[in-house]
Amino acid sequence: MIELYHLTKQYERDIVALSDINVKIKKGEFCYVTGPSGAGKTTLLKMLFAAECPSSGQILISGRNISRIKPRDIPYLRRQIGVVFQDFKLINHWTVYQNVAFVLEILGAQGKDVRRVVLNTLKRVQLHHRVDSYPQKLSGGEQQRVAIARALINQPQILLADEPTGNLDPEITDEIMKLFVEINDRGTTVLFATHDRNLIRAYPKRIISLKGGSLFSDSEESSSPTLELGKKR
Amino acid sequence: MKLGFAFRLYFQNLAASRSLNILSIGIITFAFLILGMFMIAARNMELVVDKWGEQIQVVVFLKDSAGEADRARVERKLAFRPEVKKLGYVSEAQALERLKGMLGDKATVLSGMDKNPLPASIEIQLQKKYRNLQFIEALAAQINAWPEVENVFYGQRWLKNFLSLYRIFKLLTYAIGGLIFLASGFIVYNTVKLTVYSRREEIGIMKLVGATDGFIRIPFLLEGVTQAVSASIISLVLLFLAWVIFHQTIRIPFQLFALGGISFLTPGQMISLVAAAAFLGIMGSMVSFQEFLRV
Repeated sequence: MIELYHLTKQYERDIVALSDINVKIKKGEFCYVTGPSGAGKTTLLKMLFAAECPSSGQILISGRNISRIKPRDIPYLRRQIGVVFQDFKLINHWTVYQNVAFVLEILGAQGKDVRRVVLNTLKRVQLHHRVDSYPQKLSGGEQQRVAIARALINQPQILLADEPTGNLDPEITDEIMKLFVEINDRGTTVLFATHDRNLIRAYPKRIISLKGGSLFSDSEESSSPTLELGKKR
Repeated sequence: MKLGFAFRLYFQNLAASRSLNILSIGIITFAFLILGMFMIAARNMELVVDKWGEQIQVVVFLKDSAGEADRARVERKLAFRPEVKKLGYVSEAQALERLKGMLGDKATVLSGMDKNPLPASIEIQLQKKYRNLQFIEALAAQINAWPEVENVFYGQRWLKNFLSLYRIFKLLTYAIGGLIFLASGFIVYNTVKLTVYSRREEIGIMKLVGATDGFIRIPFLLEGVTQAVSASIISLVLLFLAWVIFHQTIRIPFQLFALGGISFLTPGQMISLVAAAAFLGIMGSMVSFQEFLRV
């Protein structure tokens, strides 16, 4: 599903954000990307939805090389990938409904269909009773669920999450995590960037550890999920 | 893209940032007030200069020997020429009367003469586009060669001075007008940019979920154009009100300029101002929008 070959991102001569990353993520897999701040987690995810382009190396998504994707093709790539951010990235003067429906409006879906699909998706994240609320009236957990609904509405094959529980308390984190696991159970490939070791322990999955922009460890290769980076710290 | 959705986004944006929109329209209105005032000033100065230009005339003096038939022939030949706006015959007696009028009290100096020395003449007023030195010189030379004509006069020195002054005036109008237009454009661009800047996060989010640039751009273009066009209309209304009040309360001896009063902009100029506003609004949002699209 996702294949990275010698992926490198260098900003200036001395600043290397990612160096020679080689990883393969299978369809339907749930995979943590972990590591300390500045390890390159966000850069890696950004390259997967073409917010950054690699300095060298290749990125293949469903067999399609997106390393040198043309700017005009980027929106179409993003429509196939759901992205969830730590800071939710919701439009505050739009209602919950409008924030989620926007993705379908982009695709030119018809009014009736839009309403049906949006309400179903909001039901899935248990927010169907807040359709007309504005994001600022919602709790952090609810805002993140809106963001997840927006990422899911288009039924993407891949869901990228960049520290989605970073701003949430442990109870809400657990709720959100269960949602991600459920989404993965339905067949969506999930790439989940976090440095929360408790979360990884509670929901053990494959772990790709980055350190200083390099691949530190990959639990896939050491047969069972580990927290090597956590142990070394 | 569905245009209906673009319009819905546009109205949502308007409602969400009402105060910013009002502020932007206010700033752009000031820019257009300055541009509009300059246009009114330039228009009135041009009217004054045109009025003076009407005094440019070619005077054809007929030979003493020329009779009624000769005069009629010359008039006919002149009347057919496209450059002639108006013809006027001044007989010897009329010329003498004019001279007396100009001399006033001193007209008695003429009483000693037993014969009127002044010749009859035909005064030609030219169409506006033919009022240039090269053309007038050529026309005078042609008419001078006619057998009935004694002499052709066109106030050579005055004409040269007037025409060079006219050229400087035109040049200054274009230069100052151009600068004011550029300054207004810059203000419009920066103000529209302010609106786009306040939405940069929103633009980023739209792009992250897969919206194309074209999809996002339309509501912002509509917003830029609405701001600039409504500001230009408000400035025209304000200028018109100021013009009406000025006319009713202040009396200036406009006859100094041979004009009835200060004229307002022509409908064409008003439409041009609004069209220029629409253009600046589009350009402003296009250029500033491009800066925030790189997500």
